[in-house]
Amino acid sequence: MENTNKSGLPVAIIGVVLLAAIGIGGWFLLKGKPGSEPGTPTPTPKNTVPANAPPGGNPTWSLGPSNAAVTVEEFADFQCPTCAQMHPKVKELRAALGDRVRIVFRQFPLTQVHQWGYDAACAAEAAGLQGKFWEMQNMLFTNQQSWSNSPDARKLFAEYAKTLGLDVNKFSDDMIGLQVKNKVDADMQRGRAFNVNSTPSFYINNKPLGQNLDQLRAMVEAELKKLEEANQPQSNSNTANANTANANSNK
Amino acid sequence: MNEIENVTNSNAVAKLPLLAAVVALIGLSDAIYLTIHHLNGEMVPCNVTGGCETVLTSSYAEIGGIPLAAFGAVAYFIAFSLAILAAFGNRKMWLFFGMQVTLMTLASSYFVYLQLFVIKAICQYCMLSAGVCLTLFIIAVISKFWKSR
Repeated sequence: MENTNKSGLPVAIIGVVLLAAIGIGGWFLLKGKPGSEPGTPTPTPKNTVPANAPPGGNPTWSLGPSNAAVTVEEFADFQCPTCAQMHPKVKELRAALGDRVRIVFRQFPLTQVHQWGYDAACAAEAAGLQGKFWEMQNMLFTNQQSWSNSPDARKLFAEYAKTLGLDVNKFSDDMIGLQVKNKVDADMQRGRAFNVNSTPSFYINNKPLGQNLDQLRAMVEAELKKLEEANQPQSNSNTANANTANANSNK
Repeated sequence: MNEIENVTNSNAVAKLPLLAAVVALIGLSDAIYLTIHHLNGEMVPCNVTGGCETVLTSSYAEIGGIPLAAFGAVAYFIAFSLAILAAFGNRKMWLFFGMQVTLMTLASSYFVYLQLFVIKAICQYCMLSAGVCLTLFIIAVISKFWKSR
């Protein structure tokens, strides 16, 4: 009698655990991600950017007009897989919002965990000296898997430079030169002043996006909407952004 | 007479299989979390304390399109089931459990090697899994000595 009970109980426990595993796993898979309540709006992060932060490398790599309503400043590490995942999303953001948004790219290689991150940053800057920063930036992100595990990524960077039609000798010299190093370091100093400790870190009009990378576009659009609503009464504003805002709000 | 002896013996070792089952549940939860993470394509920023993203997005993170963590979840579930059956007196299952966790520990050792020497990045969730495997293996080894005393 006792034996029968004993043989049924373990099977019941195993069954319960199996159902729980399938149930919990399936629920998170369908509803969203573990650790985040589905449908919960992202809290607006506090502005933690100090006013006296160093300006970063000069020239600043940016896309979009300097008077754009929203500036998105990204601190990235070329060897960080998440930065590579976000790369097409940033491009989509720029394509969708056009001149209403300005994208600023800052170097923030995580030298402690990524062997080639700093060299990759230097490669992009060296390409920038020959006017091909964004082309190299795209090349580094899209080929990240190839060079990340390479025993000498610098050889691959030189190949990319050749593909982009750069002067490879100049590129290789610039990559190890002080000018490029100083520029990367200047960006990193700005990042440290911003308390950047992970990549990619985005700042939307100086407000940190935080860990909610999926929310980037939603947060930028929310910021645009907020600014457009604030600008609406000033109908005589002569800035291009305010005009765009008014045109949109009249639709 | 023989049956009574069996029950007495199984009661003596039941604590270890029960402990093993609880530990296997930790491994199962970890593996399920990693499987969902992989399938959802959730983005976690890279930081200076670990290279979890590097490990989880590496070519070793899946076999034939199936996340490695899913195989882990199945393995932990089997280990859990064997431990529970053993805890309730089925001693044969404890033998299978020993064989299973030995294989799991060997696989885990290979994954730790991949992280340290090939991918050159450490994922804390994967290391937790390796720790759980090792703990299960140690429990299986201890039970051998326990029985022989």
